[in-house]
Amino acid sequence: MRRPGRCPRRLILVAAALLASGCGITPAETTVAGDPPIARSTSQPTVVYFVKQGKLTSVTRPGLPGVPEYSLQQLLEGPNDIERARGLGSRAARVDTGSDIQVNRSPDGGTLSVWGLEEKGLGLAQIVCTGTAIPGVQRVIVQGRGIPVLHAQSPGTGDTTPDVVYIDPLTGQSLKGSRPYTCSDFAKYLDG
Amino acid sequence: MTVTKGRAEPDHSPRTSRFAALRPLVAVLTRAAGRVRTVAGRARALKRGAGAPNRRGGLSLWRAGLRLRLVAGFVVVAVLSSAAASCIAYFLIQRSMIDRTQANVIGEFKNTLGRSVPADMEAWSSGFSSPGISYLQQLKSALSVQGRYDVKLAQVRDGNIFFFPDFDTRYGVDLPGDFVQMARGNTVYRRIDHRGTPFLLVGGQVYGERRADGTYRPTPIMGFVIVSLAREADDLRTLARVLVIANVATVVVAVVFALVAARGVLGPVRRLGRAAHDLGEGRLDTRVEVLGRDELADLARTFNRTAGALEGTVAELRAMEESSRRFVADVSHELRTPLTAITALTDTLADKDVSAADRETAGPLVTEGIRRLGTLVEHLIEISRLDSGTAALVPDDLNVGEAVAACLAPRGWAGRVEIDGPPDLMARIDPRRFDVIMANLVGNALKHGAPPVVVRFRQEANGDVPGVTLTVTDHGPGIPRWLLPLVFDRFVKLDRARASSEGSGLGLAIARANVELHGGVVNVVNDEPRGAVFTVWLPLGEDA
Repeated sequence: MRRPGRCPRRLILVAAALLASGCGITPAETTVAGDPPIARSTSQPTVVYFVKQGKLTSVTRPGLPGVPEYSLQQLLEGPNDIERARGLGSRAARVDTGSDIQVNRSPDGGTLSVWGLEEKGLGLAQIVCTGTAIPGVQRVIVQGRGIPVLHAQSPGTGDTTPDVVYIDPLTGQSLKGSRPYTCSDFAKYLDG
Repeated sequence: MTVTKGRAEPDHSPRTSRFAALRPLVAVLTRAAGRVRTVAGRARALKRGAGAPNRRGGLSLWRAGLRLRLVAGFVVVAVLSSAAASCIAYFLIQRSMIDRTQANVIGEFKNTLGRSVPADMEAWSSGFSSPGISYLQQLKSALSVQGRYDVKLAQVRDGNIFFFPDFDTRYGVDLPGDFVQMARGNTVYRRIDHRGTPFLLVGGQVYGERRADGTYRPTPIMGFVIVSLAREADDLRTLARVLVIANVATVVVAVVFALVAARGVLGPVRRLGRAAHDLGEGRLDTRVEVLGRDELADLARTFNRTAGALEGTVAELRAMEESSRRFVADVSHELRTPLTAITALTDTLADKDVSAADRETAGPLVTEGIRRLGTLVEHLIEISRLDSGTAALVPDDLNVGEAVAACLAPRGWAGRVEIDGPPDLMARIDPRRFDVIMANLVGNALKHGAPPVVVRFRQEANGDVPGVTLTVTDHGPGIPRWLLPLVFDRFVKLDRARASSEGSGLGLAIARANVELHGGVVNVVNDEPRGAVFTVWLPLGEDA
């Protein structure tokens, strides 16, 4: 009786252990849950200006939904392999400020402020023309250095969206940026 | 009630066997009653260390009381069934809950990514701009479902996976490397346990359909969501707690029911045990109350029947013992009376002063006394032979009329008795015993009744058995009513004091024993106003 008496005890232990381990939510190994997500959104094409033989040349790129200013990220990325093969290049380079390139639109949407990119010559022309190619943008303000600081809109103006003020990392003073450019300011780089 | 040995003798063996059959039953009942004491005694013996060594060691359930076993059985069944139901319910709910949550999260994840990522998205190679970051933030907030989930985004570039920096992680869960690798090409999920909280990880690389040829190609974007399952775990814990409480309640209810049921069973059993114990102690009038109609009621009925049978048997045995004791006393008395008379007479004879005339008177009296003593002893021998069953029947073909005449003639009764019956009636009867029967009946009629004494015989069947009926009728005062049922018993005399001089008091008992030895019956009625009628019926016998 003693020997067989052990078996149920062991069985009960095993059952209890199984029950205990089955309680709650147990970890599970990596499991495939069907197909990968399929992208179904359609992008707005963007226009990006690159340089070919000292002149500005526009290319059309797939954009991102809801982010029209994405063309400036694409400008930063430079021409892709196919475009490079066509002889396209880029002079627009980031200024080494240690922070990301900032792109902001004015509340009315007509003015685009770009901080942290090259601010002279062909590079500037690329930035301004790419910026004004964004639907609704007429002017572009470019500033190389600056640390963005969010601060609330002064009361009484009725605008509640926070404004971005740029601080010069060297002097600690607020920066106002360049004058607003339009693409026509760089007509000398444009073909024709 | 007077039970003679002669009457008890014929069915002696069946009664013995009936008693023998009762004995084990009584023994069982008594043992059952004594069991509790036996167990207690064993426990005491063990405590003293005097008992046999207990091989089993611990207390076995089967040695415990019926109540404990009933309760244990009830509880085990209740717990098993309720636990099984609870487990099944728990696991079904758990599974459906987890499955539903996972399906929701995965479906939402796939939908959101598909909606937010363009099919022709390009990889980023250098630096981040605020538009890119704001896109990632859009994507992240869409995937996080109002910030409920942690989201990690990565892009695949040159075959490697680069994670975008985290903006705000709530749970601090790191994605396992193999999981991230498996997320390329599939939607995958995994459940992990992070600091005691279960998490669901879902991830996948977004694929886009190429319009030109309809094939799918991967976009660089990989998305991961980390979903805390703490709420689900909480719900399951609550469910488990509720189920445990329900099970405990079930156990309590089972115990209560078991105790009630045990009481229903144990009450009667205890009463039966007590009654059996009392019966074993000798209180034979012990009975138990029969309640209900179940098996226990049957048992109680059986017990009562058994006890009744036992009581009856014991009473009969006691009566038999009593009657045999009285028989011995009667025999002693009957022997002493003539002996006293003889002793007195012989004393007279021994006296030298007694006259010759007195001696002549005493002599025959002594002879008469000795003769009666001899008769008494003969009767006693006869009846003890009949009692012990050694009396053998020696049947012979007999003409009933002749046999009756042959019985009367030598005793000088021929002229005092009328005989009436068919002269050619033959029966197969033991002649000597027939003579004894007739002599006793006729002698009794002559002694106690008044003439004329008539002996009638005729052929008469008793049921299917052919036989002969003899009646001995006298015309005396009849037998007193109180004496009628006793007239065939031993040493029954009309007047004990006076009858000492007449007969042994065994004549009718011997006659009846002889009739019964033949398989016949004898009875007596008062035929008012003529006197007593003794009727003997004897079977004709096989060859008659």
